[in-house]
Amino acid sequence: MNRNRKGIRWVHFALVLIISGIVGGVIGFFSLVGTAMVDVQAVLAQLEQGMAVHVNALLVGGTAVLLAIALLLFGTGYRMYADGVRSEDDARIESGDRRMGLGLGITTLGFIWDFFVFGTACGAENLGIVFVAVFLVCAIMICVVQVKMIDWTKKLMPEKRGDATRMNFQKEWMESCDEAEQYAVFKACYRTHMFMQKLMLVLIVLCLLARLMLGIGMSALVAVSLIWAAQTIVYTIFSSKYSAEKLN
Amino acid sequence: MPLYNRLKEFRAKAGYNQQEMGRLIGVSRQTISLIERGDYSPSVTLALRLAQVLGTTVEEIFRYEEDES
Repeated sequence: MNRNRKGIRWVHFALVLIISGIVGGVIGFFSLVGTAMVDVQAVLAQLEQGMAVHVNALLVGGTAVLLAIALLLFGTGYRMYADGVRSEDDARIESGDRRMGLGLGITTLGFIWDFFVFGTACGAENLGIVFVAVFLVCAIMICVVQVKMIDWTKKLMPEKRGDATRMNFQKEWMESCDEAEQYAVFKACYRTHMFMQKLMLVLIVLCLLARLMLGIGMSALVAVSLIWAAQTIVYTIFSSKYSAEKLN
Repeated sequence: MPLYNRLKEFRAKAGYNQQEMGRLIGVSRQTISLIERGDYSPSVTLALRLAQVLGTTVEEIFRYEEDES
């Protein structure tokens, strides 16, 4: 790399740092202005209270809506896939496959929603045992729907193996995927990892701001730091392992 | 360098559809379709299995485009 190009890249890097600093400063300033105008602690306390009061409705309603969307997407995707196989229409098969994948993904969002609502309501007083039962029923329903979706997928793709009710399901399913399918999964995982690395940085900054402005304490910062560290360490260990081992 | 392949031509000559071809090779129908479209380059093992089933050589099915000129 010649001297001119080396100089340019340092100038470019310095510009990125300066612009990021200015943007961060502006966001920080307006965040402080915002918290001075609105009592954020009071708003959060009201939100938490409201969620605790309506916890059962939120659990049942949220789960029902997400499951309905998931089943609709999966069902239409299933029909498209089956039609595509009969007519050897690649585009139809791929559209169907994408819809089925999206449907399955939305059921996981349902899980996250249930845990989120349960977690926020947990700290409230006088909730009773009913909301725990409602949470368990919602979570079990989502599990059942996910298992059924896997079973229906296996009807379309009989070469796929694995029982979704067993602990070794993911291993068996991956082993039944051919090389192109595995390659697509690995590529998706890598892209996800790269995205998460950037997201962790954004989350750390948000936790810092929240700690300063909302007085939420260290827990969020500790949680995000631990997740980021765990992800980085696990990726480093497996990268190193697979560099030295037989790959296929 | 783009990889040029004649898999569809050989497959049609052999009288297999993509599903049958996939079953013979041990891959999914979609993988056969991806290879034919040039969206996926098969591993050496898979390329050799394809050549074996189609009764030809890997070099007849797959080549780099510049070799054509």
